[in-house]
Amino acid sequence: MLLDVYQIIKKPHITERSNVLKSRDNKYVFVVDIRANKSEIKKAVEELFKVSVTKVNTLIMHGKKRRMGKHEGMRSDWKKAIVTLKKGESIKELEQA
Amino acid sequence: MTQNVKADILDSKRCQITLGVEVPSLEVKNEIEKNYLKLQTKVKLPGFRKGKVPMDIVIKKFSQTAEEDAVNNLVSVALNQVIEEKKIDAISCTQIEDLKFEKEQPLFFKAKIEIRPEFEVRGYKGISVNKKKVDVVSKDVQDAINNLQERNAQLVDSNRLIVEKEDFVFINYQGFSGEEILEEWSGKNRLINMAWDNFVEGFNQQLIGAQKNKEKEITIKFPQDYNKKNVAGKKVVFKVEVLEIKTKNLPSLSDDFAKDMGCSDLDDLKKKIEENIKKEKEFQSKQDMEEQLIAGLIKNNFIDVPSSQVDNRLNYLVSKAKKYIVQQGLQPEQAGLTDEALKKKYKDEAYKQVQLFYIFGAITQKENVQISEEEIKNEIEKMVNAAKQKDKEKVKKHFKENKETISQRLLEKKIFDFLVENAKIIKK
Repeated sequence: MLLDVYQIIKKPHITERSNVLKSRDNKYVFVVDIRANKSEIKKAVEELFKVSVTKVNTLIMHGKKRRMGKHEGMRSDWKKAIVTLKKGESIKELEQA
Repeated sequence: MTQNVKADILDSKRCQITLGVEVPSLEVKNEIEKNYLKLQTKVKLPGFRKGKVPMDIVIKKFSQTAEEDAVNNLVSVALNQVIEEKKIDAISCTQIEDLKFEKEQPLFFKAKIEIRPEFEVRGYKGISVNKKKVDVVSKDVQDAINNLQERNAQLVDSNRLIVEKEDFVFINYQGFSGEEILEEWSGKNRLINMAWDNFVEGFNQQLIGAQKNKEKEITIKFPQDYNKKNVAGKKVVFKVEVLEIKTKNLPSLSDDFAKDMGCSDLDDLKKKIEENIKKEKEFQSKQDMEEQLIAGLIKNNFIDVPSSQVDNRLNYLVSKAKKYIVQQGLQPEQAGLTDEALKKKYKDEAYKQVQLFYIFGAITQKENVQISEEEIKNEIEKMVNAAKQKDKEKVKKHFKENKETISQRLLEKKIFDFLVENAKIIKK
């Protein structure tokens, strides 16, 4: 494997939607390395948080157009992974207080 | 808030008490939760719309803010409640210390509170004061008239060519230290009053005998401790040229002079002067008595007063003194009056004034001294009429806005009158 777990999973993606997914469907959303595939992500999450993953969905978010004066540019694209855990399990590191 | 705040008076001395206050843990928790709810509607985080941030995230991110706010709020609320419950006559809270706060634990803190001094006002009747006898002797009048003459004197050319003791002389002068010209010791057309040696000590003495339109050299050795460093201890030679020699011409005492002064004739002038002197003396004697009364009051009622009030008063006095110095055209620091020096100077005065404030308050209450609206109105009317300003309405408005101060002053006056009435007056 090319990447180690810390390189694959960059950070949890905490938004209103991710919050809903977590509490309703036991799904956790992460920002992951754009080169990582589903099986790598599954392994990484299982190793990092000691949980069992049943499903991984990924999608590539396209970077937005940004402009500084007359210089136009793009933010980088990035990969989002929606990870479903086995029923009854949870990632306690991402549970708040 | 609540009934459950526990409070003990731990220490009480000299107008200051220390309260130990304990707020039960439930209260603390409620307060923090309340803060979270408030925060939830306000905070903005990336990924969430405003007001849609879930509680757990709010708690994680803003626990410090919420707790700090809660503690601050609880301290002031609890303190107010305790003060009200224990009927403490508080003036200010100077310090909160030993603040203990932990989650799920009661909140505990100590507060230092300044209270109004409690005392029984005594010995304000029958204070013995010396009253100076007011009488105007003819010498006083004569002095005043002489003064008036002096002030209306005119300088006229004397025909003499040599400077004498009582003259007024216009000079050009240049100061030399060795070969070097001292710019600040040079000048043109300066008026020297020969009778008043205020330029450089010894200068006038040497100027006597100088001839008009001729140059004369005057040598001055400045003392070692002279306040201008660059000439201290040095020998300075002044080259002086006398331009004009004048003498003072006093107006003669005649009816004309009296008319110039706005009186009908000389007798009238004298009478008016006599009246003025009498008024002034009466005022002085009254002030003198008031000072004695104040000293007596404080002696009989030496009370401890809250130090924060003394500090306030002290700051006020110092700033007033500074303003006065600046008005005189001096820099306070230059005059050797730093804030510290001023504070030292006015410390006792400030303490006395605060004491007096309380003593007066106590007398007011005990003797039921009151100032009616009518009296204030009359006073305002009187002051408006006395004011020199043309726009009477404006003046009136100004005074009306300052009714508080006026009524306070009237009250003070009334108390003084009362004190004088009840004082043991020793005539001298």
